[in-house]
Amino acid sequence: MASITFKNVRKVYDKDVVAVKDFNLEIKDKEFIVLVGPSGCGKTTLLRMVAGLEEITSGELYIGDRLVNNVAPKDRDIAMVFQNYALYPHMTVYDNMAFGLKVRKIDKKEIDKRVRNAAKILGLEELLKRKPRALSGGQRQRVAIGRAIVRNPEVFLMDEPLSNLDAKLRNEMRAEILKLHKRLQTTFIYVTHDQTEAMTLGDRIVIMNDGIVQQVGNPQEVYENPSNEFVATFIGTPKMNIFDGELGKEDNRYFLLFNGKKIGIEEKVNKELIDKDIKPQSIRFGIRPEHIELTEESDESFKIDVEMCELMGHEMLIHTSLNDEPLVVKSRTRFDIKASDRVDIKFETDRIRLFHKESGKNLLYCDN
Amino acid sequence: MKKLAKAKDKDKFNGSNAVKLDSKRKDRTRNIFIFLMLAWPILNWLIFTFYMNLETLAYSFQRLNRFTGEMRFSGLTNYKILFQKIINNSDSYGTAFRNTFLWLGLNVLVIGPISLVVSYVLSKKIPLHRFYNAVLFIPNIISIVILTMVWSFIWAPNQGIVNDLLRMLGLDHLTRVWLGDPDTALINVFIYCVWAGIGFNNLILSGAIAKIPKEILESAELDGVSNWQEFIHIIVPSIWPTFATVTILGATAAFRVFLQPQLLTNGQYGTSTIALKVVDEVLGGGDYGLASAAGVVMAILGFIAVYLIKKFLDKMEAKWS
Repeated sequence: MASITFKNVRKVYDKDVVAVKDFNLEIKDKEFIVLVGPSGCGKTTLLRMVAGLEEITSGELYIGDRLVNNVAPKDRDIAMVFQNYALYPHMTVYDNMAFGLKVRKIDKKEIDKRVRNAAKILGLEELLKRKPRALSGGQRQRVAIGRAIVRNPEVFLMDEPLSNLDAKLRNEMRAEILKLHKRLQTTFIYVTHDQTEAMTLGDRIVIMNDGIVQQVGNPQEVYENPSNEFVATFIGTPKMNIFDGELGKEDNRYFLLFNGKKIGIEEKVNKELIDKDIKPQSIRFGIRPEHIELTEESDESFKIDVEMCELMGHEMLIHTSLNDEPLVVKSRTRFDIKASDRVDIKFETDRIRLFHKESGKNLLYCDN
Repeated sequence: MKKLAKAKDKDKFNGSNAVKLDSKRKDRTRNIFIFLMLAWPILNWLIFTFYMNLETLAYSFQRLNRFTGEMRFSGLTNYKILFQKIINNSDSYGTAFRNTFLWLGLNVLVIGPISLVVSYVLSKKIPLHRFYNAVLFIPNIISIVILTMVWSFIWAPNQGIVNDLLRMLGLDHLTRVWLGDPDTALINVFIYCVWAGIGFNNLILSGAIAKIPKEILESAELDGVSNWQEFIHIIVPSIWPTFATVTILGATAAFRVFLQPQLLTNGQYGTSTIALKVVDEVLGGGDYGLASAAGVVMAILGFIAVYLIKKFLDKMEAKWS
């Protein structure tokens, strides 16, 4: 078990392609951290740098108290689970799990004990004599995890381990991984582009884009209080609705001018805006689909023409547009709405998030 | 209404007939295409493989009357002569027979494994690996006549680089007529074959190594394997089917070797092979019967040898697949 510290870590390919820019993060011992972001954001590169499979261009990487920049992968005491499982196709499940231990010349009895124990944890006892080609995707993934478990590593690295599985299996394996983390009490670094996985697995999640950390925080924080427009739209399904608006101020009261209407700002937010001395300005603001109510016509409501409805069983997604911007409303109370219906909606004002028009940064976000 | 329904039925009927006709026409065109595409290779096989091998088999039971030019049935005479020549080593038949099997060993046990090691080392992207790959492949794009000529120059007794180098180092006593000395000629031709043979195998094996998923090698790296362990436990099992193909090609080629000894030593100084003997008998001696018998015997022995090698390779493949 170990903590991991990144200090100004940077990775540059071919002298000018910057994959990771000045990455700083402290991962606590036994923490489950998820690196999430779109393809090409640098998350896998970061994981590979921890594994020692990529050289660090500059900066320092510590596992525990040990600087590991120049330590060979085998000496880092880490184990990695790859997206495509990376099982040795010519070896049985048993040999796949035992190989790393045999190479390290560990006693045969100890190897057998560890392999059988891991197989028991993962429900692979019946499959030990099979070759990978005779296993299903989920079973292969279990073997890949088993191979990591038997090593008793200080850190587990997982590179999109569930991407090749179907949706049902993915959900099952997600729960298995969580259980495993609780059971093993080891530091986990998990890479995914799937924000649902990130939200459900991580103690903390690190959202990355273009090699830069956008936000670090626990899933709830990130969802409730995104640091910028990118995080706001990346985390959450459907994504947060974003609009152009004007932030105004009258008699120490802030308000939002949007679509010809004045939307009052909630007291707590108003106080924060005053404390931060935010000037009235053109802004972008966001509201999540579940924070928009279907309502009766009023001064604060907006009329929308429904373009499409998706009934999800327990909720309905209503697709429309407002002020020439796409808008999605999540309704949990009314399921009778149809395309081309005209309905009134209202924003839950305390849930509106305000972003700087140019930089996209959350006007009230403070990085703790 | 009834009329309309009938007309519709008729249309339907005509429609289905049209579909059937169209499908028949398509089938016919397809069959003609298949026949035309296969005609030439089948004809080629019938004339140059089936007929010629059959005739060789027939010749092996016949002797040529040099005065009349007739071939007469002679039972197993050619085989008796062949085995006597091999046992008594008359006309170097025994040496040629032995050399053919040495070549089999060379191709299967030396050139194949060396190619595998070379491919692995080059797959590690060592400095100048592209250059080495190109240099190794050069023998495959240059005529064997030129290659053997260059090889002869290198080992020439007077102006050859090797002897010059030995003289420069004060090792005059080691200089010799490398390709004209029975003690060194065969090994020299073998070394030539290794040099000229690695490139092609390397090309095939490098392709197979490149196809091993990167993650498997990275996983092995995290497991802490040494290069040797990676080679033995990961690379060899992963590319075994390709290596088996290369080995089988090498094994079959061993029974056809004649150009290398012919061009380097003219088959002398203990370098001849049965294939070269067959060529010599046909072109020089005119003993078609003996040449055919030698060909048949080598084909049978070659078949047995390749079968046994293939069986071993398949056994290994089954273990790893």
